[in-house]
This record gives sequence, structure tokens and C-alpha cells, in this order.
Amino acid sequence: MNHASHNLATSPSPAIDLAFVDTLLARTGTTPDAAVAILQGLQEHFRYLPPAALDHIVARTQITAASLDGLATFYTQFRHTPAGEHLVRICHGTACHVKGSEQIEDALRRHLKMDASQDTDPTGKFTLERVGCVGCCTLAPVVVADTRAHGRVTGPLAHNILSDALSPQARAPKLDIADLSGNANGHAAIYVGMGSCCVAGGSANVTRALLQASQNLGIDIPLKPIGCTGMCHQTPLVEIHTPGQTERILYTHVDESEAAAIIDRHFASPRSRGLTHRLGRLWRRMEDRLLGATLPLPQLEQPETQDVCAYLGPQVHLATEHAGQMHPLDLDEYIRRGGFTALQNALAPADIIREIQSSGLRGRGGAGFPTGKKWQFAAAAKGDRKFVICNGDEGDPGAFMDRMLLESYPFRVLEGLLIAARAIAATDAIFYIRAEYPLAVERVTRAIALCRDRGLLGSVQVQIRQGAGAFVCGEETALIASIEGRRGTPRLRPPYPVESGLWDCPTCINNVETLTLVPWIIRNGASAFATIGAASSKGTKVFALTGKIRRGGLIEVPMGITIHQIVHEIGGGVTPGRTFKAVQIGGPSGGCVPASLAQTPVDYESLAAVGAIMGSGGLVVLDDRDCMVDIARYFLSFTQAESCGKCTFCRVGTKRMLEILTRLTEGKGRPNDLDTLEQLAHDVHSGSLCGLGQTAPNPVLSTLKYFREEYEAHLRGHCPAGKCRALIHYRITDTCNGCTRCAVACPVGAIPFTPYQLHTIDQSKCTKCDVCVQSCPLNCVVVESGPVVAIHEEATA
Amino acid sequence: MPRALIDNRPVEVPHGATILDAARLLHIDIPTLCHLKDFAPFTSCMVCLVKIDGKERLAPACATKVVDGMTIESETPEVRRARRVALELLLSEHAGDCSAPCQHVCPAHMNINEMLRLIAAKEFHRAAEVVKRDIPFPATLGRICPELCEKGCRRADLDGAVSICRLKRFVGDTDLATHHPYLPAKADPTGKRIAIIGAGPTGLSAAWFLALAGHAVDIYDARSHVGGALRSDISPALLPVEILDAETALLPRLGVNFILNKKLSSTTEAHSAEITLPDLQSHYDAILMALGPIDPATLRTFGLETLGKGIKIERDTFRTNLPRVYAAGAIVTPYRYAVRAVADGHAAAKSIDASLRCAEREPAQFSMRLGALPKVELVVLAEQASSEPRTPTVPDRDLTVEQAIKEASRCIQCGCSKGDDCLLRHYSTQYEVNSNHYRGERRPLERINTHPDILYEPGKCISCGRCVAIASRAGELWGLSMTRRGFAVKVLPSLGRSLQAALQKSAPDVIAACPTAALAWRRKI
Ligand SMILES: Cc1cc2nc3c(=O)[nH]c(=O)nc-3n(C[C@H](O)[C@H](O)[C@H](O)COP(=O)(O)O)c2cc1C
Ligand code: SF4
Ligand code: SF4
Ligand code: SF4
Ligand code: SF4
Ligand code: SF4
Ligand code: FES
Ligand code: FES
Ligand code: FES
Repeated sequence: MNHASHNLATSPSPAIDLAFVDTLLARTGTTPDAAVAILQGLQEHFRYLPPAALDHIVARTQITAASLDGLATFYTQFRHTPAGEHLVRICHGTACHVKGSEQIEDALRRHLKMDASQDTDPTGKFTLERVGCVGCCTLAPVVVADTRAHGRVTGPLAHNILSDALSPQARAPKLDIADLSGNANGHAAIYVGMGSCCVAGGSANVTRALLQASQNLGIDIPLKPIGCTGMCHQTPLVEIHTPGQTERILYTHVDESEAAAIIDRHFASPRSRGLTHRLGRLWRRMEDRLLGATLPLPQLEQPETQDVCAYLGPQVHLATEHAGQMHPLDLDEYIRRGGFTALQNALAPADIIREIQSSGLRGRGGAGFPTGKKWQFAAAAKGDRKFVICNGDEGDPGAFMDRMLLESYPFRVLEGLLIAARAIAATDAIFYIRAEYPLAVERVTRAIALCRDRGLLGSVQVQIRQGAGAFVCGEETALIASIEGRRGTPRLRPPYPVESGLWDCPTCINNVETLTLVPWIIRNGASAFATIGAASSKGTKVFALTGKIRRGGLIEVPMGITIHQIVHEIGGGVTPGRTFKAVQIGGPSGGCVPASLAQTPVDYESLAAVGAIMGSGGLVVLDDRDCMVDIARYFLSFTQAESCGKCTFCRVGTKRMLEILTRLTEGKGRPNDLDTLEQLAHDVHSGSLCGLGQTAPNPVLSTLKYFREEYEAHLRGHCPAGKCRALIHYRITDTCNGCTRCAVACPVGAIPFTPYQLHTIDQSKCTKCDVCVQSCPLNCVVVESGPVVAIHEEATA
Repeated sequence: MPRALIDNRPVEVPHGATILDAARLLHIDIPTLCHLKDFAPFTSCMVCLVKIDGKERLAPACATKVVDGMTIESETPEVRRARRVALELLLSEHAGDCSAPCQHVCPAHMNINEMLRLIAAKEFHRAAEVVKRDIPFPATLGRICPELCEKGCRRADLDGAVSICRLKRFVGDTDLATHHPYLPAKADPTGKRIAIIGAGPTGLSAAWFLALAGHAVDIYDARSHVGGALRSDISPALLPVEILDAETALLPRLGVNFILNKKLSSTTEAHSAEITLPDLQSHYDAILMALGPIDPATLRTFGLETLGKGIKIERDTFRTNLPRVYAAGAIVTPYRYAVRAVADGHAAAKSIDASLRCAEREPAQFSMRLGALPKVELVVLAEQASSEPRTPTVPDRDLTVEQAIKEASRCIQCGCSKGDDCLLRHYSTQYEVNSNHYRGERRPLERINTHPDILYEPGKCISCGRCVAIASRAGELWGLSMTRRGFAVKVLPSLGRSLQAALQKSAPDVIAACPTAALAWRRKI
């Protein structure tokens, strides 16, 4: 967002097409609750909010100037100055942060010759924006150029994203997965993962290439797009099911250039096989990535490959039932696999509530409130109009469970929402989905339309509302404000939304995952659900496993599993050579659990006891190169940026906490900073109005509790993990053989080119971008804590 | 009807009543900055926090409904601490000075800012009223004052301090020249009698303020004239005798008795030209020792304890070890400047007055201080002031009326337009906050001066939301808008309109409701 001009009218205002605004209003309506949608329409069309258009809206609608201005400046989606031709959004979510998103931004800025204060490059071609998680955390660091997400970006190659955005290919029409549906009974020969991670990994292009290759061979091979398999770290994924065989063959990290070889290998007639030989070299390269995974159909029961086995082994798929097998938008397939039987088995509302209550299901949106109890309150509340809302705002940076569920199982979420509607006798059902999840919005929109056509919605009015870039709108009272067309600021509870919510009507708000579990529970019975999990935390939990982990992705595990099992068995531990330090659970409201407490079981109470929370399911693994003070600072900078700014403790208190943490990471800490920080953390927790401020101190308190010595080291000017840029320097050890790669790679010329000699770093030029470390084949570049001078003095002393 | 206990006092309230309503029934003062009667609670300021038994976190009293059986704490140390933290956090982002820096630097804490504003507006008589609230003898001090205040003047960093001292002298001289020099109104007689020993600047100043407070004051001095060191140690070329006489002559008009040629003696059998402390102690309700420096050995013969070179006193009450005997001025610590003596006399007078009235000492008034400002902000402040350079000072030459007005117009008005009726300041005083507790980035200092009657200073806004709600209820076409979020939130006229366009109907209500000086009437004379 651009805050440079806070006075909207002072922005430059070129001639504006007001006719467009009128067309837009005809579509959105002119009532106050349409305000966000109207602004989104303006933003999409003009790519900023022209003042003249805003004035026009005040004149033509029931929206007041005061509330329009308040909204337009509240949500980060809206710009107030024109943007460059291409919008490049750099993800600074947790997963991307720990994987070096700051260095990526530096590299892009350097390439575009932009300093830190500019948001658009001098040629007006590119506008850079910092965004929270875009939901492809396993591919971190992620950059989204226009609509295209790029994963695993590296500093030296970051500029390729820009040339890609300029290429004609970037304008290729979007692949419509509804056009691809396998054959009539839902089986196919080729399955391609089409979740956001997969698409960011390039699966749309792979699909096009596969289709092209089969066309070239003149054969029609049924290809079926599937939802997330959970193995997002392996994307793009292609599975082959050759007729007559009972096993699937799984290819990972497929590149579009390899499509022809895959088609050729599995589907070409023996006579045309020659191609394989011609592609021999390419083929061998691919074999490395063939998991050898021969996965038996129909269930992934006895996978032979160790990795896949370990990854999938401890998982239990309830919310993600049929993971990796279903077409996200094939309603027939969903019904064939048992979908909508739960809705249609005609349980009476009271029975539904009783069933959910005895299943022990607790809300997956963070607080863990018993879902059955919430429904009971909502059912008991009186009102002609009642709402159920699916909370798909998922703003936690480093988490993408809900995104994946909405994208891969839109019918299941909808079914859960409809069951909730029946249970509480709701007249209206609303999906609230954050705008950063366009694919989820698109699929849910289509799923609703398909179900409406089949008459599955009954008398319930179902609609979608989009967030506009505000984490706090996930908080239920802020979410309601946002739907009503007001600034997303929370209010004091009670009254709770079940008594007085949207438009003051009883409103039952549930998280996406909570609702996704509901059909399973109704279909299989409460007791089946209650047998899974821990004493007071029943069933499963979906986690987004990201960070410094070998196998990241989406996992669904039974409650009660230990952190150790998740990190080591499922995730395969941290990168070889590094040591596992901690997991961050629960995002900005959560805490860091140190490796020494890895035996902690994952259930609501145990996590709270160690200072973390279940949260919505972000699980970021940290290793010895992650600095805990930096992590705390990172989360505080997130909550501070996302604070609605209403109440004193959060608006100012988190700011002061952030200032202290920033000071510490810059080696400018003051002696009583730690005490002030800790005291302030308790005060902010105790005095803030809503959950955001109340839980914002958790990352600080938990790191202070377990890693206090790291804070103290920063007070002395040292960053033991070697992460805080102001406290470290880079040095080339004398094992350097003079290969010159670092000198070539260094983007600022800080390493003189001296072939066959020991290379050295000119500290005055070094920007600490880490590129040399990545480029050295012999690992000679080391990061050292403390100022350079001190090191030299030590050496000479 | 729900019943509850607040600080162990039972209360019964109607259904739907808040904890704040309940506390008000019991006359328990819970601070509020954002709450507005008849409006939905905005719960932004969080200074109304209370502790509800059984709840882990604190709750805002203005929005929390009383539930039957609730036990609430309002005046416990934990709750008071939390409210103080809320206030300290608000002040840590606050861009304002309650009073101008010159006033802080001035030992007498004279409201220079207001004096200058009145001079610039040709209201010389009212300027004298302001000056004499703290400095009874401006014509005198205006000639000998070391211009300490000018070292604190903000304009010093731009193009030279305002000539405060000469303007004070101008006010004093103009006042004397009227033949009815300004005398403040006296309070009703208290029936208390006070003896002041020493008719120097400390004693005279204390006499002035004690007399104004309604006490009967006798000043004793060993010499045959009043003025002490002002008369004996300062050359008449610098301070003409007529000026000193004219200003000290005002004291008898306030009922002060000068009893001259009376020396303080330590022997019990003093002759008629002498007085003794025990004698005074038996006739007066309080005695103030305001003599010049006396060596400690002599002081001890009076039975007074000493410290260093003077009498030992309790710093904030001016009490000596002897009952009802107070001491101030050079006899406590030798001073260099007469203005300090005047300030000391004033402070001692306040303390004596408070103890005679048996009044509880009020906590010192809170004052927000910004400290040094970056140049850009100074320039913003200076925008509305005269851009003339400092009037060159010619010693011994009085300022002409035109010069005085011109020079006074250079003041950039650093003090706050609300000063004494600001709610934020009121509670900050009450909770004895330390505004430097959480130092960090604050709001930028801005003055939006486009409205003929209203001054808007966003730096002083605490985002309480009152004005936005009032303007909206009044049906303003543009109104005010709470813009942006987080630390950057800012109240602005909607969609870039002017303040005038924004507040066509509700300006008086909005200004009355603003708990700080963010939205205030422009100071008019
Ligand atoms: C700052 C903040 C952000 C939140 N974000 C989300 C979110 O993105 N998704 C969500 O389901 N719940 C979120 N919540 C929790 C919701 O307020 C609410 O408790 C939840 O949607 C209830 O659903 P459940 O009972 O199914 O968990 C958030 C809460 C806070 C305080
Ligand atoms: S705690 Fe933060 S996000 Fe919540 S209401 Fe207060 S300022 Fe807004
Ligand atoms: S020397 Fe510094 S600037 Fe150059 S590549 Fe290494 S870290 Fe980056
Ligand atoms: S608004 Fe109040 S607290 Fe702020 S400077 Fe003015 S008087 Fe002081
Ligand atoms: S400019 Fe005026 S108010 Fe400010 S310090 Fe100087 S004299 Fe005082
Ligand atoms: S201008 Fe005054 S009334 Fe308005 S929000 Fe700020 S402090 Fe409150
Ligand atoms: S995609 Fe960057 S943190 Fe999630
Ligand atoms: S989104 Fe593709 S595997 Fe997760
Ligand atoms: S008065 Fe209660 S929060 Fe401001």
C-alpha cells in the first residue's frame, strides 16, 4: 500500500472514465455493504483509486464520504497512486521471511534501480509491493508477478521474474480446469496437481505441454486436474495411471520441457518410441526425480518409496479425504465419493448439533471453541434472519491450510456450511475469503453455482464476500464489520456474534477447516471422529509445514501427535548439516517451541502450556541459522502492520515493542530493554481490545522464555545465529581455492576478482545479500557474528 | 436488576448498565477519553480499564455490561498501573507541549507564550495579568533577569529567540505607567497570620502570593527599606530605585505590613528592636525565613538544623526542623538570579498556604514536553508567526509599542491551546504519569490552520473517534474520517475536503468533545 499521500485528493488525477464507475455500480449495487466490492472494482479497473471516482461514488450511492475514505485507506489492497504496468508482489510471510525474502526484494530493487522509498521503478513498468503470505509457503520465497506466482526464487535469478512478466507467454489464456475432467467415470491416465502451490510451481504450463504432446502423437489421453496432494514441496506433480496396471507412477518437480518425454514413455506405440532415445539425456535427468513411487490404487496404502511413505504414513485424511484423487470441481465425482449424503440424510437440526457436540469437534480457527456448543447458542438465538459464515480469511503468514481446502475441496466446505445452516436454521450463508486467494474464490464461486443448479442449496442464500487485505478481518467482529462495509475494526465481545452479529442478527462463524470436517463426522458418526486424537482435542488437524524442513507441505495429522514426529518423521527433519532449533506454531498469535520440547503433543492444552497455541495451523520449522530475536521482531512487525489501530495498547504498545526488538537486532539495545519489553508484553496482552493485540506478545514472550540468552547476546552486539544484518559480516575462509564464483556472483562487486588466489570481501561494499554463500562450491564463505573490526583485533591480539 | 461490588462497595444497576455507569453511581472516578454519552462505545483509549474478578485480562469499563454478581476492582494498584501505562503509551505518540519550553526554562514558570500572544494582540493589560500570576515585579525583573527563558526558546534554533525578557519589562513598565497597576483579586480572609523575615525578592514574592491567598502577612526586615539585595547589590543605573519602589508599593495595597528595622535575635531577652523565633512562633501561624545568606553557625544558634551553607529544609514543603517555621531563598541555597528567589518565594507560599488550609497537596501538574524538534517541524510551527528577525536589542532603550508588538508576533506559540482543560493532561496529572517511559516514534507535528475558527493538530489526536462519530451523526456531507490503520491512523476531513467543508454543522460539538487540543478553537483574544 502506498501511504505517501494520505490526503486522497492531492493525488494526481488524470481524466477518469466515470462511465465505467456507473457500470460498476449497476453490478455491485449502491448500498453501504457494497462499498468494499465497489472499491475492488475500481482498483481492478484503474489499478488505483482515482479521487474523482471516489467523489462520484459518494454522489451516486448511500455510502458516506467518511466511511468510504475510512475503507479506502484501511485495506492494503487499495492503492492511492497509479501503479506501474506490472505489479510485482514480494511475499514477506513467515516462510518466505526465513527463506530470505528481504534479500529477494533487495535484488529486485537493485535490478530496477529503486531505492527503499520508491514503489515504482523509474520507467514506470514495475510496481513492487510487499505482501503477507500468498499461500504457497512450501515454495518460499515466493514472488507474484501480475497473476503469476513464482516459487523458490533466488536473489541472483530474481530478475528473470521481471522478464517473464514482460514476455508474451505471460498473457497466455488461463487454463480452465473445468474443461479437463478425465473420462466419464472420473478416472484418467494423467493426473496433474492444480493447487496454488502446483500452479506456482508451473503445473498449468506442464498441463498445456502434456496436452500438446499428446496432440502431437495424435492420441487423446484423458487428463485430470486434481487438488492438493499435500506434497507441495514436490510440485509440479504428475501421476500416470497406465491402463491395465494397478499402480500409479508419480513424477515430481516436472518441467514443461519434460512433458513430451513422459507422454512418449507411457503412451506412445512401440513404433513411435524412437523419440525416447532422442530424448535420452533429458530422460535420465528426469529419472532422478521419478520417485520410483509406484503407488497402488486406489488408496496410497503401501507406498514403497521411503520419503513418500514417511511423509504420508502418520497422516489421517478427514478434511482432506481423497487427497490427490479428486477433481476440485467435479460435482459428480464428489457425490460419487459420498458427498452430500451427510446433508441429505435428513438429520434433524437438534440431532446434527448433538452429533457435533459428542464428536468433540473444536474450532480450528485458533481459539478451539467447541463447535457444537457454538451451534447450540446460535440455534437458540432468536431472529428472522440468521447467518452462517465460513471464515476463509486465513491471514496468518506462513499458513495455507484453508486456501488449500477451499481450492481442492470446495464442495466439502460448502456442504459443511450448509449443514451448519440447517443446524441453526440459518437463512443465509456467506463465504468470506481473502482477496489474496483468487483461485479459492474462483473455485468456490463455481462450486456454489454448480450446487445451485442441482438444487443442493435448498432455501439458503449463499454468497461470497472477499477481504481486501487486512489480517484483522479474520477476527469475527472485524469480519462482520467488513461485510457490512465498515472498516475492519473489532469491537468488544460480548455480545458474541451468535447473539448479535451481522446486521445485528444471530451469526455463527466457523473456520474453513472446522466446516470441512463436519460432513465426515455426520457421515461416519461422532464416535468414529472421537476415537481419533487426544483426550480433549479430538480428530485431526491440518498443518502447513514450512520453513527449514526437507519435506514441507500440507499435512493432516491426528491430534496428539508430537512435534518431533511431525518434524522428523513427516517432514524428514531440517536440511542436512543444520540443526533443528524450534518450531513456530500458531503464527503471529503463537509461540516458538524449542527443540528440547519436541515431545510436546499437538493438542490445545499441551501447546498452550508451553506458551504456543494450536492457532490455525501454521507450523514453521526453524534451524540454527534462524535468530529468535529476529523471529520475534518479524512477528511483531507483522502484527504492528496489521493492527487496526483502534485501541491504545495494540496501536502504540506493539509499536514500542517492535522498536525495542528492532533496536536489539541492530545491536542498539539498552540495558533495561528486556525488562521493559517483557512488562509491556504483559500489558499489551492484558489491555488490548481484540485477539490480535491480546496475542501479539506471544512470539516475544515464548522466545524470551526459551531463548533469553539470545536476547542477551544481542544486547552485547552479537547475533549467535548470524541472521541480524547489522550484527554480522561475511568472510571468506582460507580454504578458498580462487574459483572466482563468488566474485562473479556478488551483485555489488564487493569481492575483487582474483583467480587462483584467496578471495576477500570488501566490507564497506558488502550489502550482506548472502549470494556469495550460495555461490561458493566449497562452502568457504562464512557468516560471523559481531563487527569485523573486533574480529581482526582479536586475530592480531 | 444486576448487583455488583466495585472496590467492595455494593451497587445495583438497571439492566444493560455498564461498569462505568455503576461506578458513577458510587462516585468512583474511572477515567475515560473515548466514551461518549448516548453513543455506542468506541473502546479505543483503554484508560477505563478495570479488573473483573475471575477474568485474566482487564476490561474496559465503558463497554462492559454489569452482570449480576460481578466483583470489580477499580482503584487497586494493578488497575491504576494499567491505566497509567495506557496514558503513557498515548503520550509516547503525542506531538504537543502542554506549555512552551520557554516556560519550563523560566525559573518562575511564567506563561510566556500567553504573555506574548496578548502583547501581539495589543492587550497589554491582560498581558500584565498573565505575567503577575507568576512574577509580581516584572518591571524590576525585566531589567535584571539573565534571560534564561530565551535559551529555551524554540525560535532560537531558527533565527534568534524572541526577546522575552525585554517584553516582560515592557509589560511591567506599561503597567506601571497606567497609574492603576494591575492587582489580582484577593481571596477571602482566612484569619491566619504569617510572618516573613526578610524583605528581599524571596520574601516580597512570598508575601504577594500569601496575601492574595487571603492571609494576613507581616514582613520584618532589619534594614530601613524594602527590596533587600535588589536595592543594595544592584546598580541604580540598571534598576532605577523608582521602579523598585513603585512595584513594592503594591504590597501594602494587598494588606501586607512592612515592619522594618527589626533584627532577628537568638537570645531570648531581645530588646525592642529585635525579634525572636519563639516569640514569632507564639504569635503567627507560620513563619517564613527569607533572609539573605547567613553563616550556618549563626543559624544553629536559632535552633535551626543546617545543611551545607544554609538551613536544612524539606524540599517539597519548605519546612525547617522547627514547628511552623519555613525557609526559602538564599538562606537555604545561595542563588545567582533574582528570578529564582521570586520563584522560590512563590513555591514556599504555595506550600504554606496548602498546609494552613490543611489541603492535601495536589500532584504536580503534568506537562508534556517534546524536547528538541527537528528543523522541518520547527519550520511547520513557525509558518504562522511573523518571519521578521529578532529586534536588535539596545541596552537601556525601552521597546516602542510597535517594536514590542512586532517582536511578540515572532513567537511561534509552542504551548498548547487547551493547556488547562485538556482531559488527557488532567488524567496524566491524576495518574502521575511519566511521559518518557516509552520513548519512540511519535506522530508528526502538524498544524492544520485552514479553518477560520478551528485549529487542527493531528499530532495531538489520540484517535478516540469522538469527532468522527459526532460529525457522522450530525449528517455532515463530508465529515471526518478515521483513515489508515495501525500506528498510522489519522483523523482527516473525508476525501481530501477542507475542515470547513467537513464540519459545516457540528464544529462546536466536535470541539467540545475532543478530549485533547487536537481539534480546538483557534485562540482568539
Ligand atoms: C486477529 C485474528 C485473526 C483471525 N483470523 C482468522 C482466520 O483467518 N480464520 C479463522 O477461521 N479464524 C480466524 N480468527 C478466529 C475467529 O475470530 C473466530 O474465532 C473463528 O473464525 C471461529 O471459527 P471456529 O470456531 O471454527 O474456529 C482470527 C482471530 C483473530 C483475533
Ligand atoms: S487489539 Fe489491535 S487489532 Fe484489535 S482492536 Fe485493538 S488495535 Fe485493533
Ligand atoms: S560479499 Fe556481500 S554483497 Fe557480495 S555476495 Fe557476499 S554477501 Fe552479497
Ligand atoms: S493536548 Fe493536552 S496533553 Fe497534549 S499538549 Fe495539549 S494540553 Fe498537553
Ligand atoms: S517561540 Fe514563543 S512559546 Fe516558543 S519558546 Fe519561544 S517564546 Fe516560548
Ligand atoms: S481529533 Fe480529538 S475527538 Fe477526534 S479522534 Fe482525535 S482526539 Fe478524538
Ligand atoms: S507464500 Fe510466502 S509465507 Fe506463505
Ligand atoms: S497445492 Fe499442489 S500439492 Fe499442495
Ligand atoms: S473510555 Fe473506555 S475505552 Fe475509552
